[in-house]
Amino acid sequence: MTIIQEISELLQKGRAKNVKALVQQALDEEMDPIEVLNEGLLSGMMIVGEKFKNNEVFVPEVLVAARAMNAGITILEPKLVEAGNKPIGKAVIGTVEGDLHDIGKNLVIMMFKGAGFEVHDIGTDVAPQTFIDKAEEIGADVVGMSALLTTTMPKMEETINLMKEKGVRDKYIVMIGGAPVTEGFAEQVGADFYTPDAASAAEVAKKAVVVK
Amino acid sequence: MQKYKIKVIEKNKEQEVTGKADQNFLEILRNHDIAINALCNGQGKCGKCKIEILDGVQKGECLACKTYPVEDCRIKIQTLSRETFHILSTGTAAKQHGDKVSAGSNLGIAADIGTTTLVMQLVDIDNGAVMKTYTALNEQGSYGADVISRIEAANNGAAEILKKSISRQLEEGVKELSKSKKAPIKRMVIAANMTMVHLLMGYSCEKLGVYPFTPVNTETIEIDFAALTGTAGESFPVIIIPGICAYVGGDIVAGLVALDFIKCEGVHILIDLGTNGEMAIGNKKKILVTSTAAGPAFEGGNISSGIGSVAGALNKATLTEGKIKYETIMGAPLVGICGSGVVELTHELLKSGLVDETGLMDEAYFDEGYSLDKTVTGSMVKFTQKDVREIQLAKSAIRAGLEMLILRYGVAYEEIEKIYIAGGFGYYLNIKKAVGIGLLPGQYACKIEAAGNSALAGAKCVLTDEAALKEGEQLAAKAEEIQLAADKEFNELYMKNMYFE
Repeated sequence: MTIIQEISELLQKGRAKNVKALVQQALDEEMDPIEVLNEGLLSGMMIVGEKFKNNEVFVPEVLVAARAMNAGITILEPKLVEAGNKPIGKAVIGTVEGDLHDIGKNLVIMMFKGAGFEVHDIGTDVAPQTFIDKAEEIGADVVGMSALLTTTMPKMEETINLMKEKGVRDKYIVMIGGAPVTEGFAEQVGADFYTPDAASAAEVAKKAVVVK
Repeated sequence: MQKYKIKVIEKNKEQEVTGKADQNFLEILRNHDIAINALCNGQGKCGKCKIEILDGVQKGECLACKTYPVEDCRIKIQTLSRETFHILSTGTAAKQHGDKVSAGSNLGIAADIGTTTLVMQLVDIDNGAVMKTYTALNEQGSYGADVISRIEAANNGAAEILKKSISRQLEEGVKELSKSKKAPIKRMVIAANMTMVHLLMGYSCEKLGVYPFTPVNTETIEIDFAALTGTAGESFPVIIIPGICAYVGGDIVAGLVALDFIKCEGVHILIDLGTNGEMAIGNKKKILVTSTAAGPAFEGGNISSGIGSVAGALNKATLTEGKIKYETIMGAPLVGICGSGVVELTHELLKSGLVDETGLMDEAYFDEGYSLDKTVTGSMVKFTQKDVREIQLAKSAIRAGLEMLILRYGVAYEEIEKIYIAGGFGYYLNIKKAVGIGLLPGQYACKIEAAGNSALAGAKCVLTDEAALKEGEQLAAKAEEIQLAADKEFNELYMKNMYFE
């Protein structure tokens, strides 16, 4: 097995320490940091995401894999900047106002990172204006909103309407998700995409920024 | 707008209703006060609102919330029928009440209004004897199985309907209970969760469903029955037991009264494994409460063959030497799997290694699920990989909530004297198996006791003993809430407990 393959395997098993060590070894051997990132870390994370979608692995596995991924990325960071690596897109992700649930949102953030996005986590109980402010500030491509309470879903519509009001709706790909959210609701409120799980969300976002 | 005649056929009756072309069948049924199960409140997600269209171009089974009439037709439905539902009215209360000699003329009603079920009892106020029991499924169920769905429905125009629904059911209960009695009802005491109280009182639910979750009123409510329900008949004073916060209400306070938390020296815990997963820990000095909202998995929701505790629901199972043996409620033919059955199956599959400690099902069953048996209509009742995942989420929420409560209270294992499990699901739960899947902590197994319907028991205490209401008010005032959703430690525990040990 090559180092890159090993990195992917160990990431999938959530072995953060081993991943860190191997990534460092790869750098010491003058391997291309971008290749280590994409073929080693991100591809491993995408495999975990796919398995999560199919219920082959569960939330805790995604969590530990993401931790291993983050550990590896920390080592690569300086070299990636040097090599001029660009994220495939920027995303602002948060849970809507009135809602404190964040586990699902955090899974989406992990998968987005795994897909190569630069992600800004704006937390929970986020007001509509705050989504827009952050998106404008960083020049986001994707704005992702999460809700776990049916009672807070209307905030998604409010945010989208506020974007229209401010004339910035077309600048962003708006994605929504969360247990009570549906495709029908997404259509109703004018979101661009609804996805039922974190892995699909990252996949859809990745395709969408390429088209943009 | 095109209108259609729809003949609605239930087990014991038929009626004809009119529906418009732009109303789906769920809406049409609701408009005619016909209550069918709609766990997810019409979002097309739960699959529980299935009806069968008997003729025409749409003949066959379909989801009522997603199907619209296109012609006159007959449909077969299954209502939330109380004959088949198994509702718990017994409770072991630590408190003894009503020890006077019966005058025979002091009659009262104790009521437990739950999200899923309604139980009312005619009680002799002097000696506390239960003379008659009335049970029913809460017909608000066609607006969703959980409190958030009902809050959402109320905020979107259904508040009046929901108030009328529960008022009508209370009235029916009073009528049934008073039937053969010569003496009038002196008073009624209601134990209910905060959402149920809001809907019954017609309070606005606007602030109830969003952070920071603010109820309109948590205090004791004293109101005249006729004024409360808008009915013309017999009237008497009603006391609604006070609650603590948005998601821990009078039903839990009633349970604390019944279990004598006000007098306890040692630390006790009360867990209501009902629809909302409320818990309380404490004693006469300090009380902490929280709500885990584990989701409907333990009531059959989100489970592919999941069903409420109706006749024919699988509630016991053993898997030995590769052969599965199961039992159903009332020994009726298998129709699905109820909450206790779900715990049993998960335990058995774990024990025999068909599900591993991460929750992954054996390759042989991964795709199709574990098949149990066919129902009388020929569909196979299964337990799937996805079902296991739902159980992991639900049991982890409860387990993590319990551990957080103990952690925040700051008490050692030895100091906890008893863990009471209230609610119907808890009553029939096999504690050993619940511990086996990690729903309840193993080291506390010997301290766990089923308390039955503690809300109803508490309502009876308040009905028969003046001091009990004061105790309830003191307990409610003393209790502090901990919120789990935003708590980093809870999230860690939640993650940690997802696996099976």
